[in-house]
Amino acid sequence: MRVFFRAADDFLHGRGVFAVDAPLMGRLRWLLVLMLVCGLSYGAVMGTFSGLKAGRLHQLLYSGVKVPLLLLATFVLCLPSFFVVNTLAGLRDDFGQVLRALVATQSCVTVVLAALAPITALWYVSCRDYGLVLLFNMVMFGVATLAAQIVVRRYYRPLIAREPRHRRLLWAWFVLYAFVGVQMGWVLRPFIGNPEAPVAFFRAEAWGNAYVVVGGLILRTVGRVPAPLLTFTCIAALPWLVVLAVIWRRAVASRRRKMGPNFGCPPASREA
Amino acid sequence: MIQWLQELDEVLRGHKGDPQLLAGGTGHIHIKPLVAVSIVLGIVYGLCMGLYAVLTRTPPCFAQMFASAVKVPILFILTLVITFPSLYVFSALLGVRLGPKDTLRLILAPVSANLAVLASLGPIAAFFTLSTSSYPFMKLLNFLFFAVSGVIGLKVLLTMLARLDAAQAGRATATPNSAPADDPGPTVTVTPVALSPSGDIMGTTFRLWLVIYGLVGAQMGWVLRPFVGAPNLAFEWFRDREANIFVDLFRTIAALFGA
Repeated sequence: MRVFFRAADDFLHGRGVFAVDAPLMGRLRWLLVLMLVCGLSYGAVMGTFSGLKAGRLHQLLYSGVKVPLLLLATFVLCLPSFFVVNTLAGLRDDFGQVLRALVATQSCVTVVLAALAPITALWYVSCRDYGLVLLFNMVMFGVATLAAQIVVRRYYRPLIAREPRHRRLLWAWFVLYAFVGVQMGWVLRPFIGNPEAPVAFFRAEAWGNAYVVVGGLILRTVGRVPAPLLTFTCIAALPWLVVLAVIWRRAVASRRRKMGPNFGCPPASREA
Repeated sequence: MIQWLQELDEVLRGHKGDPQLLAGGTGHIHIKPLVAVSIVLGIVYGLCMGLYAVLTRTPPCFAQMFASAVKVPILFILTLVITFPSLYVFSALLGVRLGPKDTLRLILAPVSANLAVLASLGPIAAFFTLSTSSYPFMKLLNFLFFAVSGVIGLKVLLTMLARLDAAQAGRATATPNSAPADDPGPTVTVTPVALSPSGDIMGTTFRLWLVIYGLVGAQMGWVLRPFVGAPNLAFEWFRDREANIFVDLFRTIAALFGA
């Protein structure tokens, strides 16, 4: 137990076997253990919303297994194309390091989730509405993903310093991972378990496509809004979008000035 | 098999576009292994594509899966067969110094890179197939994957062209004593007056050809359909001729969001 917490502590601080330049083999085992243990524990807490009654306790186990499963399955599905794209970009030699960074990110998400578990439990105690509970868990996953960016940056910094193209590929990874992950989360439902529905590992009607469902929901909502209001909203939103775009461009430009001329784009000599 | 993979790996790593090697022509790109590995990659993606017909129909339509696995490599081969003569004839007419075999080698490498990206997206397509019954969504997803891999293949081709151009310019200007390819920097900046039009023409020809290739490829995909197989239609090797792929693309988007 103590060894485990020490490993988690080392991981969060990025030292010992988890230092950026330490060899992979020593830490891969720990990263997987962290992911499984922390993922399981958050999942179990997630399942308590409906699983604390007699005869529903296995919901805790189901939810617990699903959190690491969600992360690992998405990771495995996205890895082949990311590997090919990295090779095509001429960055195959760095792929070992890239892999380390990505696995560490997964572990970090679960560690943060495990740390957030008590807050989720408190929310469950104070709120009995299934929709709000669902929303709260989504927010927790979002927070964990954002916090994991710290670990990604830590491991990616030397890579980006060596080859700025890594920055773009990292973005590509996030887009791909999110695209697959959303659908994976949809397929693996229920994570929380509706208290009124019987406990099941997979929900019979869960099989479907998240994007089609959400797109349909948005369209139905938009369809209910009166047309003049819709036009007005679109027109009113335009100037704000322009303002945001300008602010973003300025921020990028100022960062580019600070980081030097090669920020964010590949140096010309490598391309030629 | 191992040799095929090695050849593919070299293409992906960009070793085939090494300026030093390109200065000596395109002989280091081997046609046979690349064609073989491209066919295998096409089959892999075709199987992932055809999975939809197996999962959504009762009884499962394995014929569609087989047909898709055959059709994806054929799509790429036929597109190349149709567009290659025009590429070669026009580039030769415009004075590009590449023989037919050199030209073929030069475009085979990007095509196999294209198929490698496509095949690596196969697992994702298969995963979405497992969980999706919406036909328009699957069609659009496959279209997106083809487009993404096509764009990446295009980037590979353009990089290779730029390097070939630089390498040939370097070879023409450098004296035998100085090794030009060791140091690609200067050779890029030195643009010999006599040779730069040829390089320009080569770039323009290939870019124009890319547009033709894309259009022919899209239309070829339309002629060879069904790849995914509409769930309400019976399996056929080829569908009747009607409309074209761009009309269908708009219809699909409308169907996805409208209905």
